Amino acid sequence: MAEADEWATLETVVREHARFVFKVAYGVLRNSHDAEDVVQEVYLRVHRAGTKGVEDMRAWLARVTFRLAVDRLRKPQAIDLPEAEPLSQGPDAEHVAMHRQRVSQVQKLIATLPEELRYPLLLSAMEELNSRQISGVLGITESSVRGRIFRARQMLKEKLAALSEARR
Amino acid sequence: MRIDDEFDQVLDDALAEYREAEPLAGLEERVLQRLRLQSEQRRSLWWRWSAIAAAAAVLVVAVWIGARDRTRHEVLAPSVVQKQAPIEPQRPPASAPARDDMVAKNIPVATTASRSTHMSAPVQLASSEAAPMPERFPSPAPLKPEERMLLALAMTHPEILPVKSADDREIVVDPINIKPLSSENRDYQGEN
Repeated sequence: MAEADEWATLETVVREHARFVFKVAYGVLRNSHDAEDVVQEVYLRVHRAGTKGVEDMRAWLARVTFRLAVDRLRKPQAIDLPEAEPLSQGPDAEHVAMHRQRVSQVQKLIATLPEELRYPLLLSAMEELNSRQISGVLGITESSVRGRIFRARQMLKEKLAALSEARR
Repeated sequence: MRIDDEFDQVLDDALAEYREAEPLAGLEERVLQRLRLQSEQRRSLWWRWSAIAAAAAVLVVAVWIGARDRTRHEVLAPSVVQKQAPIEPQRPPASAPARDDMVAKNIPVATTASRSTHMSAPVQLASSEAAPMPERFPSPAPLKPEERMLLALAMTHPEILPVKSADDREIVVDPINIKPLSSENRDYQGEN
């Protein structure tokens, strides 16, 4: 009976949070296959350890996922290259193309940010996580989270501006 | 101001890739399937180890019992041999007339030499092992736990012990007196 209850709880946790766990893993890894592997690993750990004593399930899962993803990132991995999208045709085609190019540049710049700035910025992109939960994931204070996000944005803006200046 | 807005828009779009990342369809089912598989593997592993542990325990007990029996046998064997050895020489030798009678009837009579050959093997075995001869046979063994419990019970509650019944009393047999045959009877039998 206890085993059935445990299994029901686990199934609920999987169905409610699997996609969120995937997003956190993907935010770190930027690779769908690796992110799914991390999701599987996270839930195997949940199965082994159980969920007793967990107050904030989402924050706890985010923390476990983040650590596993960072560990995985430090190992050699395949890079998931985004597929090239066809350029749209029309009067705004040039504007859209330029915008996409800038987005791509920013994504590359995000990847070059130091970890202590990159991870708060990426986790802040998850709408499901507030600054308190991010601080729990990263093990820093909420004010540090906000400060690091601000510094990351500033750094990206400066780098993007420098890149634009260099191209003119 | 316009540059800031434009940057925010670009950054938001760049981060949208992370925010809107979606796994392949059926992620939850794949995860649950993996968990079920893992659970079954753990259960079968648990049973396997339990069976191995039980078999090992049975083996250990069997080895222990075998070793204990062998030790008992080794302790008892020399004492039996040594007890038997002196018996043979102490047998009273057949008297000369009796031996002559046996020779006449073609019954083989054991000579001293043949007796010594018969006896030599066990005596040598006993002397070669040189085990100390126990004072009592069978040699006393330490009480088993059940025996100790029974002894303690008997000491604390002697009333539960069975009372010695009348049947356990020693049987006394009266001496048999046979009247000697009278002379008349002897004569009558002698005629026949």
